[in-house]
Amino acid sequence: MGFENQVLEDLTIPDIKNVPFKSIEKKYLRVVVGNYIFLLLLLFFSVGLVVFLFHVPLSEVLFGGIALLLFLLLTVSFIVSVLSFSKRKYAVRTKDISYKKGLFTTTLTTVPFVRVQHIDVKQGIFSRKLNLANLEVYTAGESGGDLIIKGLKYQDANSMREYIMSKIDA
Amino acid sequence: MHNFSIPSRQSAKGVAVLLFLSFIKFIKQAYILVIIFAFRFISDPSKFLGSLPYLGLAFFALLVYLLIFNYLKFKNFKFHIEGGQFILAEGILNKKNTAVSFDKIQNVNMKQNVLHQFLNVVQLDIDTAGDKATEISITALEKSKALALKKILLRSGKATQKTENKEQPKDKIRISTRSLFLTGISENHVKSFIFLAAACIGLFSDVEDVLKSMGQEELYQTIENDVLGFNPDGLVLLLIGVALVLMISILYSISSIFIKNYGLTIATKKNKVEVSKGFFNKISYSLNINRVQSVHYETNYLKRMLGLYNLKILQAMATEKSKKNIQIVGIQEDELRFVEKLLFAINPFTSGNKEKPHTYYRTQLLYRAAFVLLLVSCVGFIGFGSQFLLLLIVIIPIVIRLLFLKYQKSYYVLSRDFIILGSGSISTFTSIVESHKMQSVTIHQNFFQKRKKVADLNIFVASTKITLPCVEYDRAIKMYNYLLFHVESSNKDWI
Repeated sequence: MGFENQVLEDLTIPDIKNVPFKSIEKKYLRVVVGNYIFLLLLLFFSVGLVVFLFHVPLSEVLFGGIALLLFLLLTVSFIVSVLSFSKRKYAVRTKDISYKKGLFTTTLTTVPFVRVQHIDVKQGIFSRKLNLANLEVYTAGESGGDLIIKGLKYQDANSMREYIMSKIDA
Repeated sequence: MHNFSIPSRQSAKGVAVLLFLSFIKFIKQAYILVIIFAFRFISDPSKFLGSLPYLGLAFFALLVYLLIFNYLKFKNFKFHIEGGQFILAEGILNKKNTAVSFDKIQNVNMKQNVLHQFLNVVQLDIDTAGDKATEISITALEKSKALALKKILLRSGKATQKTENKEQPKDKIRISTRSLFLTGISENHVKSFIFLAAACIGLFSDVEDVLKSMGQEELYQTIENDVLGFNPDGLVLLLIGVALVLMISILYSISSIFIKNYGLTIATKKNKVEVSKGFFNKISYSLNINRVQSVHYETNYLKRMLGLYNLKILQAMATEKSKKNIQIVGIQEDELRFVEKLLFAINPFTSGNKEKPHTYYRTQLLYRAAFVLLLVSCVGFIGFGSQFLLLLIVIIPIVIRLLFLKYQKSYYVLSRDFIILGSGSISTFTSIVESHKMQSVTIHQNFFQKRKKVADLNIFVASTKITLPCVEYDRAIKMYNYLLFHVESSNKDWI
């Protein structure tokens, strides 16, 4: 047996890869669909408004092009968010909260509780009907580092908020 | 000496300063008006002089309005200190009350413009951490009162309580006039050149309007044909113009750096750093070492030969404005090491080894540049025809050279206590962050990076975001785990 002196850090530091992540509520897919339909209707309505009120024909290259582009953009982002829906996962450890998302481009974010500035629980119209909520965790850092989990059960979001708040105050 | 427990107003001289500032603001916004009047005067002096009484009347009315407005503003501006909080009541019609607790106060800055100096008053700005909305500016205070208030505001802060035994002897760095001059010369002039060139082109189209309004359309036509038609005469004119603009932009850099930073001194006192500078507008601010979030410095090829750096010290949630303020230009290498030691107690570079991003980073940069170039050349081809594509012969080698420089200059260090990032292509940037000041961390991986098993590691601090590009995935995860462990296990606060 040779002498061994392993680096301690590798042994004791918790690994994010070993953390079991939970999926968000399946019901939230309905909100995604609802949002898409709502935005689509909004687009059609505003295009219709421009056509009938200002008599700009849809065949006008610039106007028609922008309308088509917006439609495609909406649809593609809708398809991507449906496909990547199962990739939206979160995990709460005793000292931090993590969220990962994305199919082609993946992002994993972790916010330690000791750096949390404030937490919001938000509900949109569709979410309220389905008893869902968004948990938004803000730090003092740049906005890209904030953590927003959409599509949690309202009660879950609230209890997570309570839990994190109790950790901060402790 | 000064009683801050009862609400008090600014110095009575403050009305003059307020009036002056709002007048300057008005002039700045209405400078077009001044130019129009000037042209009117040139084109038809007698008619202009005829309308002068009305103009004078309007000007007088404006002055009266500004005077009344600022007097009311002065009357309705009261501040006092109560129970560890600075309380400000302001607003003529819409009343606003702001309370800031001392713990939240990040730094207190003092400014003096020419009028301030003449009246012997100072402007006191109070920066707070966290809230962007609570930024307080007291336009005019007697100097002694301002100093007393500053002392109170900073004394009770949380940061000063944990002074630790890190008391340094008072020390001073003064940036010499020579360094400022050399910094001005060695700045990157591309930006100011583009800005000035754009302004000139804008002016050119204004000249068209003016000449037209004066009935001198033919003169404009000949100018336009000569310059834009690439006649030999016009080309020479254009070259002279470009040279002139370049010279002006260099002169502008030198003089603006000189005026902003004249007499730049950095003094340290206990756990505070005091920076003061300015030729016309004297500014002094003190920052708490504990509250520094990140340190950035920059040099370029010329500056490195002269041994000069520009240093930026960023604090939490600093607004764009105050971010610029904590800028120290023309600092020499040994002085830089001194400041580093002051802020971090050790030289951060000795704490760990430099690592380079995966070579995929270079490929990624190339792909992205190729994509942008393709887009630009498509648009250019449609807009200007095939001649535009000739430009690519010049652009492509430059872009490739810059990309390779960018990869060459890119490195990072992640040690127990520090995160250091090196970047830049023409200029060389270095960013230093203390690991425990991290707010949150993300790992970002796009489709191509996934195939190469690399990822971007984004570290968010209260002043900026540090991106370590294309780190090998396993290494990135290890760093991720370590940073979280470090923040969660140490009891060091970020502010």
